[in-house]
Amino acid sequence: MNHLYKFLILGLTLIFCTSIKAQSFQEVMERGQIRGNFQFESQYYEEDSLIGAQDVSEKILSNGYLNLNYTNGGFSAGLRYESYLNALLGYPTGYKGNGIMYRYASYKDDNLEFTLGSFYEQFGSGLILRTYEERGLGYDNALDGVRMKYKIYNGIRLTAFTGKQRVFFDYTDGIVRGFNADVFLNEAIGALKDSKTRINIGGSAVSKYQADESSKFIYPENVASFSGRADIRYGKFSINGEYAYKYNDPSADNGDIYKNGDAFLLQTVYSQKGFGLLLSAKRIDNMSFRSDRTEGQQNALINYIPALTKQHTYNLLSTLYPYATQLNGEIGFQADLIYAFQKGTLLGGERGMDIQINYSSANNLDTTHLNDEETYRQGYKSKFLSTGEVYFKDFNVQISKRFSSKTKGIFTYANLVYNQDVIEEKPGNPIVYADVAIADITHRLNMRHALRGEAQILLTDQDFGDWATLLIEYTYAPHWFIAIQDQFNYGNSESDKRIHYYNASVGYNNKGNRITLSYGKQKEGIFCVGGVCRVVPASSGLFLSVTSSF
Amino acid sequence: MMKKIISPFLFLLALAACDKVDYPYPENQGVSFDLDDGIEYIIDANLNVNAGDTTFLKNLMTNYNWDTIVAADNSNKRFVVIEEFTGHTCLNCPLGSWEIVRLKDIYKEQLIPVSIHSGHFAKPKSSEPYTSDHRVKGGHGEEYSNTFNVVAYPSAMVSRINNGQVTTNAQWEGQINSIKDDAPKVKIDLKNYVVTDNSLDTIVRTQIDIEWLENLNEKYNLQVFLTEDNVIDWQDSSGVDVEFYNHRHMLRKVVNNTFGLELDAAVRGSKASFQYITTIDNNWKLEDMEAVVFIFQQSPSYEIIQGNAAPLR
Repeated sequence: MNHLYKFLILGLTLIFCTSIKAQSFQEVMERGQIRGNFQFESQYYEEDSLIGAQDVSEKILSNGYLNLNYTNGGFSAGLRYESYLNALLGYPTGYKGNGIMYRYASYKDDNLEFTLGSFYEQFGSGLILRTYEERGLGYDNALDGVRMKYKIYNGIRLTAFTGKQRVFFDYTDGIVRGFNADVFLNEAIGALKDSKTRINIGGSAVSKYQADESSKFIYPENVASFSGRADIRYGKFSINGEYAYKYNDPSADNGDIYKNGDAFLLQTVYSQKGFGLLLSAKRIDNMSFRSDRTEGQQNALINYIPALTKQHTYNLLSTLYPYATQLNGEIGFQADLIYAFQKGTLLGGERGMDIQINYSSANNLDTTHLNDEETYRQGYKSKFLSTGEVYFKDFNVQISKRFSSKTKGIFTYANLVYNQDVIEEKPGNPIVYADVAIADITHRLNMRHALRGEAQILLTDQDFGDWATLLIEYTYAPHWFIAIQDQFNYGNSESDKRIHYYNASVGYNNKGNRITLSYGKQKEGIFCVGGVCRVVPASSGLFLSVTSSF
Repeated sequence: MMKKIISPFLFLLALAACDKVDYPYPENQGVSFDLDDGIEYIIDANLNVNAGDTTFLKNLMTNYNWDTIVAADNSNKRFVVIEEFTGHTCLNCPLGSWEIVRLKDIYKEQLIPVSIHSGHFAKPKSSEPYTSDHRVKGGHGEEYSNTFNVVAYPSAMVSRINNGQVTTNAQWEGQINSIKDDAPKVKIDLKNYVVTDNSLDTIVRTQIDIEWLENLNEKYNLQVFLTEDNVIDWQDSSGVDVEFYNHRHMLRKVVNNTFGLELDAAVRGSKASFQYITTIDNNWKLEDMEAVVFIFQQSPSYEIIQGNAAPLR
């Protein structure tokens, strides 16, 4: 609470300093607003040796979060209280206890903004800097320090910061410094103001400092990275690209090699009513960038490599074989086509039909080992466009069709190629080839009652074999829902492991509040958001979730 | 106002600093000891001896039987060091190496060859046959290549005359002849101590006693190398992959940093003694190894004014 007290004092002082001269303190305070949200998740764990659910000594584990944000004119301040008593299984064990690791005070006027304390920031697509919170992953790499933003001229915005990164309830040893300039040419250059072509360009520099205390290697204490980008839009067409370069950054991730890293990202979009086409490509070479060279997993990451794979939501597609971005090197492509068959056409029928065809792939780089571990430790050379071992492929088609005013369906087919050895770091495990089919039907019984069913099947000869999932969900709008799900590993080659993972849940929504209670079994798997993943251990028990925003 | 706002941004931009590490391994500085016998003992950092703890040193000197191998006397001769730059995929480099072998036959102990594998042609390949890394550990070879601007092969420096001029094989004999009869400015007595019974074949003691024969105003450094002769491995020779090529006088270890140890002022008659206690890699053939010692003038001259060499066994 000591932090909180100091923080409020700082906030009030800033309000005084920035308030309009003639206004009274009371008038200023009356303009203030507090908003926030609350989240609590708790699970009662039961041991289940059949599915590998471990015995949890505490029996009950809980995560709790409270965000509070105060705004008053240009001033804002906020904090997040976090509680892990102890953290839910699968969360990094570094989250333990209670505390406030996120708190900030900020002031903003028309051109200038400064923040002291914690902040999240992203330069461009994140290739050299992205700090964010993804609570589902236990991911929070917020910076704590000072940030300034300044609109120096119409269409020219500068950002600079320095800070230390959060790792659980501590900060990394490293210091991160960054500078970014975004130029919106149509705003900055009068002659381009009314041009149909919209052009934005940007450049960034991010550097980290970490002391070298090693007797084994000479580590670079300062590691710099740079990026340049452009975004061009013309009517229905847009293209954007970014190139990033990082100087020698030996780390636990890359086996202490001193090779420079680089990354290239290109994306084109064409979109009009009823049709959209997205093509994207990336090439990542030795781009793990952390503020602590000894860290692993998702800790202390400064940058973010965008995933060029579809983020699936259906159970069998999203939890069994999702792709995790490979920071050390990969080449990825994605094509995404959306087409809406109009009403009255052959395929559109009476109510039209939407189809989405998506293909994505990720391969290793085509590398040549340099055999220089005893000397220069450059590690490898890579060819720019040539690809190596396959990491992941996903071809999927999704059709959305409304059959009547009350019934609609979503049908999905996916073909997956999944390199377990690399993605899950399970050496020797075979590549998984899987076919997945899903039918999702929703039938509205009347204005308040709806029934939804999902049938999913995954066929593969590798790993745990075939799976099926059935889900039935009943919604009583606007407050209640109840669902029952069974995920069945019916094709497991070991008959005693043909397990049903049952789960039943009930939920209540009211305005900004939501309470969910579920009971069942959770299989071991990995959970990914945007290519960043965490391992989810097997568990069994009763799960409670409460969220509220105000 | 604008200037005040921009200044911090520019300041932070400047902070986007970067340290480029050319070679990842730290220099082997060694640990110095003084046993009140007039010799500065410098023990290889790889031996993990703590500063001030003389136990290791005393144990080494008293509990083993050491053979002594004495180098040639150079009190009346200027010995010449020829540092050759080479690499296993350099197809013309054998021409240079053979020239040095020819010159060695002529000048005997007065010519001390050192072959430095560095640069593009020395890089190991990921696939056979050129997978060996003959570059000296510590990045010293690249440092020499960069310092002396080695751009063509075969090339060498003859006692680093003419400010470390790198020349081609046709010039070496003439350069040697131009300095071989110079009066020596300093004498280097060199002795290697190796354990007689193979009970300790990974450590060698190199005793260096120097005596200045002239008063000199410039600053000089003492450099100690270990070389290995007759390393049999692949070499591209005029476009032919030769499997059992004999690599001569390969620089294996730079014992006392890339540019050695600075000596006290050169006063005629003054003496100094050093003993380097250093480690030998298990893969090196002790019987083909030499300690090479020379004294050179500091930058920008780099000229080697005296050298000497003695086998380790």
